[in-house]
Amino acid sequence: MPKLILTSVVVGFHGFFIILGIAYGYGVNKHVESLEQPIAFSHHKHVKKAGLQCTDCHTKAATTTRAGIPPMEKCMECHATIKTDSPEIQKLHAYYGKQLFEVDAKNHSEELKEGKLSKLEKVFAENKHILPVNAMLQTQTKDSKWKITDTGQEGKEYEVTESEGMLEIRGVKKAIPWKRVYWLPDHVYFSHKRHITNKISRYFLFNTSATDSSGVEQTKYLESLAISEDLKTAFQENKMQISEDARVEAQDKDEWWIIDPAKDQPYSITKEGKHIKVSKVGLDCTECHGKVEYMDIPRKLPSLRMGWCVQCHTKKGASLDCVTCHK
Amino acid sequence: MKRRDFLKLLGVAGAATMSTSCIETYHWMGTKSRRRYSYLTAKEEQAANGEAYYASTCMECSGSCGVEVRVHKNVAVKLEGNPQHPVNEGALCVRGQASLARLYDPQRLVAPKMKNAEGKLEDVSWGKAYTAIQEALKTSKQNYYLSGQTTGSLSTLIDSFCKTMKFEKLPEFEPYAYANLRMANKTVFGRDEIPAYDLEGSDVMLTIGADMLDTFVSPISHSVQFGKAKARGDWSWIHVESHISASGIKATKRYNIKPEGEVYLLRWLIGKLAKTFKNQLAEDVVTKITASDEEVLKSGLKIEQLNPILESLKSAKKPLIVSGGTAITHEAGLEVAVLTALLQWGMGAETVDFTHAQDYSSVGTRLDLANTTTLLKDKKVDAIFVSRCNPSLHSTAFAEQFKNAKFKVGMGLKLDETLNDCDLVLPMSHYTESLDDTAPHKGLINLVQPVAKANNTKQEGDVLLELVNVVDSATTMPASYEDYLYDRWSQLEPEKVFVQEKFLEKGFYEVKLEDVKPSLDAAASANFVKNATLAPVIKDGSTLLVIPSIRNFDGRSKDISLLQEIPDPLSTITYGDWVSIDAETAKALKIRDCDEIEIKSGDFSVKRAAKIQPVMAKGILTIQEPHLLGQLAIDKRSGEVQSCVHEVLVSKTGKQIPTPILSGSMESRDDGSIYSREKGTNRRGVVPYAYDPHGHGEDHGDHKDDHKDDHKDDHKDDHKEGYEHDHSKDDFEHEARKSLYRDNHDEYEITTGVRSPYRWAMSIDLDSCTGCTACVAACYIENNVAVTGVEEHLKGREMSWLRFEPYVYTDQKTKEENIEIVPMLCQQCENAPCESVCPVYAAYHNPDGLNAQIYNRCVGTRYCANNCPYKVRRFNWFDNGYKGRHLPLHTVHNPDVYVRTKGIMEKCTFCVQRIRTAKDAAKDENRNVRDGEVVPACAQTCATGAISFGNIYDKESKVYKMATKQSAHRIFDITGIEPSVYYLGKKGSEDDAGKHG
Repeated sequence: MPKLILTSVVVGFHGFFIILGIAYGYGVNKHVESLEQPIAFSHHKHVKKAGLQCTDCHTKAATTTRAGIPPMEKCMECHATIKTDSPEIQKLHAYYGKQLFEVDAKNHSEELKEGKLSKLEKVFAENKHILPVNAMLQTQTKDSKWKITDTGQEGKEYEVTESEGMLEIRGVKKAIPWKRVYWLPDHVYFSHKRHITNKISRYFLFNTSATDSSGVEQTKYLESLAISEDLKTAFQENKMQISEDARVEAQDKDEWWIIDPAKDQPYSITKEGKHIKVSKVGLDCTECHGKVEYMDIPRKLPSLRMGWCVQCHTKKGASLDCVTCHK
Repeated sequence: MKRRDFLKLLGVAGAATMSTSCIETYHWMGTKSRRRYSYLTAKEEQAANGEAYYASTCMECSGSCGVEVRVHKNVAVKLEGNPQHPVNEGALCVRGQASLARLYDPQRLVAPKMKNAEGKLEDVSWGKAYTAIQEALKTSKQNYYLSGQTTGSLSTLIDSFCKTMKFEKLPEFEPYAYANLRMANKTVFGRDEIPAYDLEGSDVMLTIGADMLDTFVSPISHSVQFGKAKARGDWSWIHVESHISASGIKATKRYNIKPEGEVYLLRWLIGKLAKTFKNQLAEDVVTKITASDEEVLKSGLKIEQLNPILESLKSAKKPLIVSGGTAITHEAGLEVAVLTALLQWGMGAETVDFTHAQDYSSVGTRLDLANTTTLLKDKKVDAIFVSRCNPSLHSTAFAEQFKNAKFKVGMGLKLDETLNDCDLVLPMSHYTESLDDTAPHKGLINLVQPVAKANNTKQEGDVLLELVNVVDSATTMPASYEDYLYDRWSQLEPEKVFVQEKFLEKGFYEVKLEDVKPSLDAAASANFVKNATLAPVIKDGSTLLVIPSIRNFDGRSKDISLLQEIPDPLSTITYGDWVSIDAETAKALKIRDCDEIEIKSGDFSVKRAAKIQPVMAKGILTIQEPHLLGQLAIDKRSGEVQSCVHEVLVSKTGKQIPTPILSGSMESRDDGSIYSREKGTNRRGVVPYAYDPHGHGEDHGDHKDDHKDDHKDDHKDDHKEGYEHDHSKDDFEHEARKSLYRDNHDEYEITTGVRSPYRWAMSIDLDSCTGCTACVAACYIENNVAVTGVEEHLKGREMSWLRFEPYVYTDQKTKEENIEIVPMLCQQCENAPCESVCPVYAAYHNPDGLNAQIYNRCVGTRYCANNCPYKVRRFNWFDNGYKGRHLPLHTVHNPDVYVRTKGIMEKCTFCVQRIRTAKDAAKDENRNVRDGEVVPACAQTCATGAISFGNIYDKESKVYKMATKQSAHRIFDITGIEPSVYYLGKKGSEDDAGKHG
């Protein structure tokens, strides 16, 4: 008998932790799931395939503390016409409040009055629009108006309007509830601007020959604060545009900067043996955010813990004063 | 159980425990996923960091200061003074700073309320409310409209509303209507107005009872001019008053006078100066007025005090003479006001500006309110609209008779004494939700601009116009107040773009006016002098003065919790009501601080906690509750209420009322206790900073002030006054102490090889600091400092980073007692004692010389607070930040500053977030921060410019110039901790005598 009691006590005590462990495991699973964004936006497609730059959408990254999420208007600039038949783009249109499709009202009016959605759901699917599982017909706001709300995480809303025997289905304009991937606690101050326009860091881009086609040293051009045609083509070959207004600035005796008013980061040019090395001045986005161009769903790569910040600050000689980042 | 079985079980279970903890760790290391909303509208992207400033006007009082509202993510976060505004020039008072809290008041009305059958107010829709008004107006014949002071377009709109709807507009009700002052100006100058006072243009100012910098007419405008005049150096100010006010102690010379004795002083002055008057008065008037040298002594002033007043007026080129406050609100108050006006006329009247007079044209007096009460009593009121005023609080007679009106409509932000009795209450929009204009004085139109969207509230203008349109569909008046305003504004300037491009951006509009020269109405003034009682009987015995409060003005700001948290500058009391009593009377009656006393005079009686006020004249008691004025007598000639209660009986009830006195009472300074459980009262034992203007101050009676003055200055004084002092010992001590601390600056330089180009320092000019506590409010709001409540205050757990320490000292030359108010904040010591005791390096020294505190690193040992000689570190005993606040209030928080949680020590950081922003901007341009680019919240809101902040390494900076002045000194400098805050100015010391202060 005492054996039984002791066994049950020990098993009970530790069993509690096992159950706790299972609970945590379940939590973690949910957690991984929760990284899925309301719209399966692919950075890979936009950056690698379409060739967009980070600052094309995150326009404020170089000028303010926050990189910012682009407004929906930015997405709609292209996606009003491009790839509109994709279900993901349809989701965007729903958030933007665009009219999605029209159906004959006859087949559905009865069902709508009863408050059911089963038939309409199929129509949604036919139109490449997946109505979420937990969608419900909310209220009949007026005689010929219904609202479909998605109580799930995506939080979409649709409006069904009956007019002249047709059912018009449109989304309700609403901010897309993106899930934050990078998150800093309240006591930390971080400025994107300060890191992108940081003058200490160099981010390697490409190497090119030290002499141009006519055999003149590239540095000669640079000393006279001009950009040779060959260098310009080298930039273009590496998929980097240099505008006509770009100017050269001598920073050091061995280093020149090309400052392009159209770009936020200057290019640094140094001579290394038979090559000249072209790098970006300031941190490149990928240094912290990883190669986002290869990610469909962006993941948080760095730990964003203080140690991670400090090791980089130490390496690059940035300020180590606590109040630089702590507020 | 066998040992083996046990181990088996333990092994399995242990593994399970391990795995759970691993999963747990993984969980915490995993990505934190947070949703974000309302962040991505196009409008947000327009403003950098989602932040913008909008020009508007503060509507907390009729002063109408221009403000800039900081809006973060579509939420109004803070008010800052508009630097271009002619009234306040970038400054803002304590009430203005705190007035934003009204927007997020948890008790704010959210829907119209109507009385139901049971007589209780219940929420209704606007439609129902309008229908109710319409129904009531159909049958009612005698309709009245009662409002608080109204200026600008709204005033015109109310007039036309009353015309079309057949309402009668009652005179506007303001508790402080300055009836005697206006009456006197009418008698002497023929103008029923309050002029603008030109402090800046004067060379001598004589104020009789007028608390120019606290509450009198337009205190912020006066303070701005005071700061400028003081900086000029050749300006002096003589203040005569019967009680003691915060602005009074800033005067060059301050004298105590008996209530009603002001008449004798003015008569004597006019008599003496009449021959040298620039504008002559009639001879018989002067003879009638003139008081003899014996008579003037009745005022309570001695002849050696009177002569300097006379001398300075004689030598003045452009004097300014103002009477106000308690001096014109007693039985002979009208006489004082008239005599002041006559003296002002005689001295040239160049400094009273009737061109830009204050708009009080439609403001009624207490007599008008009494008339309204009679109307109510006779049941002659069918319907009454009450807006922006609370007459029930200020008049018990009105409150009793108010129910006699058949239909009462109240308009306001939240329920008060008057609105509670109304049949229908309409919720009004806060001024940051409204589009409006005001005209504080002639020739100025202020813009009130909405920065937030009103929820279910409306503006008064919209309500009136909607009512007009509902009742009379054929009306020509526009349907919305916005259209009404734009119609009026477009007439200001013919340009079409004016409103959009100039008015909305700038926030105000100045109209050029023709100069109005004051002229004497000889007949009226002579007639007045003939009938006036020029020899009032000076009563012996104690006098109770009911005075306005610097924090609550006429009581209207009392419901802002932040203002309750900020101490009254002279008494340092935060929560609760009290009576200030002079030290002699208190001693005679054996009254100590926090004792409950009863004050009786006829029917009038109050019971309040006592607070002994040093320096106040014998027999004077003050109470800062202007609603008590409703119980006092009214002057039948002008309608002014008499704030003096003569010959009151003061008695102890034997009870004690716990009252939070922050700096400790003067008598309990050395008792060392913080909270006496036995007595149930709070006697804070914090020894206030002993500011001793002469180095070696005499120990005066109970106040045992340690010698804690600047050690360098000691030497100067020593030589002059012939003290024997062992300097070598001081030097030795200084050096010895210094070696105890590491030199942080050098250490940083050695380890990094870089010397920071900055060393932030602050200078506070004590001569200019008026103790208005605006900086405290600004600090609270800028730094998300928590509001803790009365319970915590009684335990000495207030959170203010910046506080005021009143200090009583005796002037060595004149042997007069005086009070100095010293703002005390973190001194950012170079060798800070708090840093060396922190076990986790949360308190550390930053290369710029800041004594920084890293909140998330703090573990709450509180060693630092124990080691701080200034007692400026505050500990969070509870989660006061987000959790402690009522729901909408947490929206008023500065996103640049962390909200501290339980168990964290916090303190002033010289607004490090603003330094960071300025550095960031400078780095973009590849330069250093320039002088004046970093302005801490306290310096920004300071009306007199007493606080300057900057880089002391920069020899051109203002703070360097101030800190190297002779009168600059640091507190506890002798300890070698090298504070970075320099205090300037010594009242009455030899260096500065006659120059300023």
